[in-house]
Amino acid sequence: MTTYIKRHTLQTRLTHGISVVCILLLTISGLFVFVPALNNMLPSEVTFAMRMGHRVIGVLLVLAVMISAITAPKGVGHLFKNYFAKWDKDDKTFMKRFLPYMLMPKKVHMPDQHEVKSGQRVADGVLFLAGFMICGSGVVLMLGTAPFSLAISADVMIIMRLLHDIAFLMLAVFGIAHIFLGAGLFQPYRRMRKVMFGNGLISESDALYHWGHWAREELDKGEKVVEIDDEKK
Amino acid sequence: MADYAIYLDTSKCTGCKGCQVACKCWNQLPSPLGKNVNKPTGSYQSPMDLNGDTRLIVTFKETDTDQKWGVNWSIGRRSCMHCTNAGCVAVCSSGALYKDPNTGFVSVDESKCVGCEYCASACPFDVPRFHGSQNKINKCTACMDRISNGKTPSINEDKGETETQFNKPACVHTCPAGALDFGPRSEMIAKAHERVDFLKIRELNPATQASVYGENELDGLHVITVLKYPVDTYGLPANPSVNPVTNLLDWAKPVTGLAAAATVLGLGVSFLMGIGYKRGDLHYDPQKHETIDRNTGEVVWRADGSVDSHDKAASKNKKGGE
Amino acid sequence: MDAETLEKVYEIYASTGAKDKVGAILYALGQTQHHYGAQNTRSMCLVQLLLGNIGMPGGSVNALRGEPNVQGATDFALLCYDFPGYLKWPTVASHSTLRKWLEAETYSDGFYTNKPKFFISALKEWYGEKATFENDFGYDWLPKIPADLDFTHISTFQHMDSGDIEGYFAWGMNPAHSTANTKFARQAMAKLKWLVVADWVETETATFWKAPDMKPEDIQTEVYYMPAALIYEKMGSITNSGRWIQWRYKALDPYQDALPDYEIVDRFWKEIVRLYKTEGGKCPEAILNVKWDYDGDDGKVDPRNVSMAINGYTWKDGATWKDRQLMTSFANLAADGSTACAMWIYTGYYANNDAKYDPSMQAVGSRVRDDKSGLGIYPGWGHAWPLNRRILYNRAAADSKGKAWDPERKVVEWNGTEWERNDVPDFGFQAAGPDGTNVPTPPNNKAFMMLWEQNARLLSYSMKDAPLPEHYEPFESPTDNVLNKRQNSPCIMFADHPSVKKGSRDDYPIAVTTYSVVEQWQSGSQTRGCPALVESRPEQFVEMSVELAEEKGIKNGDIVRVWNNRGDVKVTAFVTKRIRPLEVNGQMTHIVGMIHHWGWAGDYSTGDVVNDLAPNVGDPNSYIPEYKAFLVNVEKA
Repeated sequence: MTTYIKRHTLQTRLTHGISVVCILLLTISGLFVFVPALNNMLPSEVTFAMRMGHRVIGVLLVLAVMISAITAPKGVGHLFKNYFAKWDKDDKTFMKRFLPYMLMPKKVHMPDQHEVKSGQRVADGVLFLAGFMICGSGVVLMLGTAPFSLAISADVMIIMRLLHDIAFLMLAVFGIAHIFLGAGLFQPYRRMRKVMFGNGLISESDALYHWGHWAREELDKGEKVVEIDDEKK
Repeated sequence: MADYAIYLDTSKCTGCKGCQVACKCWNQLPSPLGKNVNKPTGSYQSPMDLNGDTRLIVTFKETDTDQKWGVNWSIGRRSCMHCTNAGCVAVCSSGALYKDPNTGFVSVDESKCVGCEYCASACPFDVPRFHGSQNKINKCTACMDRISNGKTPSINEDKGETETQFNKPACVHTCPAGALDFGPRSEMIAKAHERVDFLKIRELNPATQASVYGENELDGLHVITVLKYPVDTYGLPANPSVNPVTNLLDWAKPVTGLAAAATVLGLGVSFLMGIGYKRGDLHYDPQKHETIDRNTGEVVWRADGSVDSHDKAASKNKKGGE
Repeated sequence: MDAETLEKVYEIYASTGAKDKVGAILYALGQTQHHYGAQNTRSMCLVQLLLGNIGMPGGSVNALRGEPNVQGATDFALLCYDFPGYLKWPTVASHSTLRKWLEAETYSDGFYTNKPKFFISALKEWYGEKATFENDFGYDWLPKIPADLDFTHISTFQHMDSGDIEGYFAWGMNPAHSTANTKFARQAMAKLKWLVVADWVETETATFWKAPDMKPEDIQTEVYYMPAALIYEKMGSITNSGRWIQWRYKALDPYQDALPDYEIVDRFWKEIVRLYKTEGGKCPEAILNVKWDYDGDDGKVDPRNVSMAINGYTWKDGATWKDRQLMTSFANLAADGSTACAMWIYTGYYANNDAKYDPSMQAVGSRVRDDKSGLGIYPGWGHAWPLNRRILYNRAAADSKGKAWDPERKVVEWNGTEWERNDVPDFGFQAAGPDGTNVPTPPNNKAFMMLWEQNARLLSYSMKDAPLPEHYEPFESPTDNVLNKRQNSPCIMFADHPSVKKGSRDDYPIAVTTYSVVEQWQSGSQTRGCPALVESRPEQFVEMSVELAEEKGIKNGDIVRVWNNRGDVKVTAFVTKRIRPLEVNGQMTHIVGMIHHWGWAGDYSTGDVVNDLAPNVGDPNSYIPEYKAFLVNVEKA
């Protein structure tokens, strides 16, 4: 028998999954359209199709996230609380030790964390911010060009492009890191992949390691605790 | 070929729109079909702005004059200015817009254009427009296909005439008033100054506010204009500049590339450092409020704070941190 | 205009009277489209004569006659009272016989002593072998203009209205758009039994019954539309304002069934001849005696043969175009039937016997860019009639002693022994001596050899209305004539016709003039068919002052109604400071300007016909209608 804690709901996992797919496609289509070296590899009709695809997928991403948020206001509130709660001593210590930990995980020990690690608050926070920036600027860019062609001033359009580029820079750096950690490429984080892409359950052992405070609270409460027979896994 | 320029003398232009129509003909740009579909403009100017099928329009603006009679009728040209510091070329994401090395004109390779409209936000003159299902750029190319074709023989070459005609842009070729010209940029600038000097001092109806436009703007335009009246009456910006954000954007791709590469490298090191990482099998007892490592049986955390292996600065356990 | 500016204009222009200065006057319909338009032209001539600008390079009175080939039209006498080459068409009243014509028309002195040679050579070309001395070279077969009937343009519609004219050919002309008082014109056309229109598109004339105010169900006219080729779709020649005749080559085939107009004429004529031969008809000699041998080897009329006929050649019975000897000068034409020449003024333009079918080897096809004198004469570019004289009356470029007025503008100059010349002299500069060689003629005071007295006429007796110009107000004017007591010219034509419907200035206080824009051309049949031109000028407009617009509550771009007794049109209003109210004889008077190129025909741009408003009154010399000044009222539509 192994004890699990329900960490991510189905809605969370679906929203994340759709976002992942969309963002990957957006990255690929975006790079092909805006990096001349890649652009010129394809005929312009194909690049144009990719640009139009980029917009469609961008809209889908925005809609998916919006619909998810609207249909789970409690979840949004919870998320908000986790990300904007006051930082305690463990939060600050985590941040101080994070870089050494990444380079010497066998030697550096990290303090217990609440439901969302302080490092996550920063890193995933940047992802959220960059996501809003890139989608927001993307929508304006889309509306200001054909076929919508709303009258948006050239100066505004250029700022939007700058924001889009800056946001992509943020997404690139923090996204790569997020994947490295979240997909469990980093050995100390292996098995993380299953939590978001699988059934949303995290083993008691992993939960106690990564989010000690939260794990003990949930184990104390028991509502989210699940016992699974090992043979039935 | 050296640096070339299109020259316009607005004091000679009669506003006949031959240039506007010749541009459409040569570049096979359509005009609206259908009965009475053109929007009335209430002006001698028509159409009122550039569009996806119109690269060049003649502009008309009447302002009060200090002469006894008439008005100041600023009749001008609205089209690409072929800047030396061309913002559109700098931001073009596909390289469709390029500077012709032989002449300095900004031309277009439509086959590469992806319709992103970035050029439109970088142009100080609001020139780029777009057309077609792929939203391709439509702007003056200085008839690169004509001028790069070299010289054309005189029609009387077989009769012994040796005069040859250098191919000019369609607009220049058709101008009946001799207001448009085409030639080496330095010559066009000199011609413009000579004309402006004359306009300012001529006895009848002197144009005291005449000026040369295009000599130094944006590091020099390849359209040199003698403006008879003040620059704003032609709808032109007095001090055009490329939005400095454009330069910032130039940094975006290389910085992002470098940052992504650095991130990957750094995480690669991290990955290597993480190989062989092992961790104990933790279990928490809600009754005792204790966490134990099932492998060793050791208590690694106790609620009263007496044990907290997470808080150790370093662990002597070779098997990894907790 | 204020007195000071006007004085300055006079001063500047008058200064061109100096020997080393020259002034040119260029004019068009703004001068001529008045019921005293010919007198306006006379005024310009008088000014130029008094300033010595006639015959000088960079001078003269220059009519702007361009693309519609108006010069060619007057040269070839498409006006009904003219004979080709500015001779007179025979009238019943004065020229009932050839003798009467020759006596009435031949001048006693000057170059026009030669008129018989020109006239008879033309008859010889038309009637060929059938024209003999005995039958007065066929003169009696020519129709003569009746004394009491007027077949000029404005009258034509009056005749249609009264039923005198039952059928009408409109060749490349669109009077349903361009005549004055077009509403009356189209109602008159509705009374025709038949109408033939040769044009390159279906113009307003070809579809007159489709005008918005016409009722097709009440119209019985049989209309035949002959699609005609454009100028690029046929070869031929064109004559410009400088009398330069230039050949044009065919660039592409006509569209579908369209034919060159000369081919249409040719087919008509051949069919008429065939019907006369098989069925007979009135005055058969007048039809069957005509020589009509212009076909090329392909059985179609060849304009090069026609060009040779126009140029002139020596006549030999039985000869064909291939062996006829072309003449180089009308000086060699004869009045005895030994020469044939359809139009004497052009002789020399198509005279190369060695290249009859290669126009590029004829003077008319010459394209030499040399201008040795630097005076813009270009003697090798095309051919200028008469005899390649580029500057008419160029004797007047030198004084009575033959010295050029301006050494920098030397067209001709007597050097003591002979005339040095940079242009073909437009005067008798040499004559055949007793031994046959040419002897230079020393200078005298005669510069205008086309008049019998060979001097310029300040006073002229050959104008129908007055020896000197006089000021008159337009037929409809916002003001009274304060220079003399006569409001309009006493010789004004057609003012009494009921269709004219003169308007009073109480009802129509606003003066209007009509003009053109550069983007559209004439009746718009060609230009309104070009989408790029329609795009550049989509709407028909009336320009008015800011003051008038304020008075009427009109904003720039509003549709307004412009009307008078003759017509009622809707156009767009352009409000501009370029137009200002004028103080005329102490009264603030509004003036508006309208452009006119629209009609109901066409696929891309249509509009009301502005010429509905113009009065169909005319000049007694030219019969030209008065489009340039009349009265209207304006209101927001």
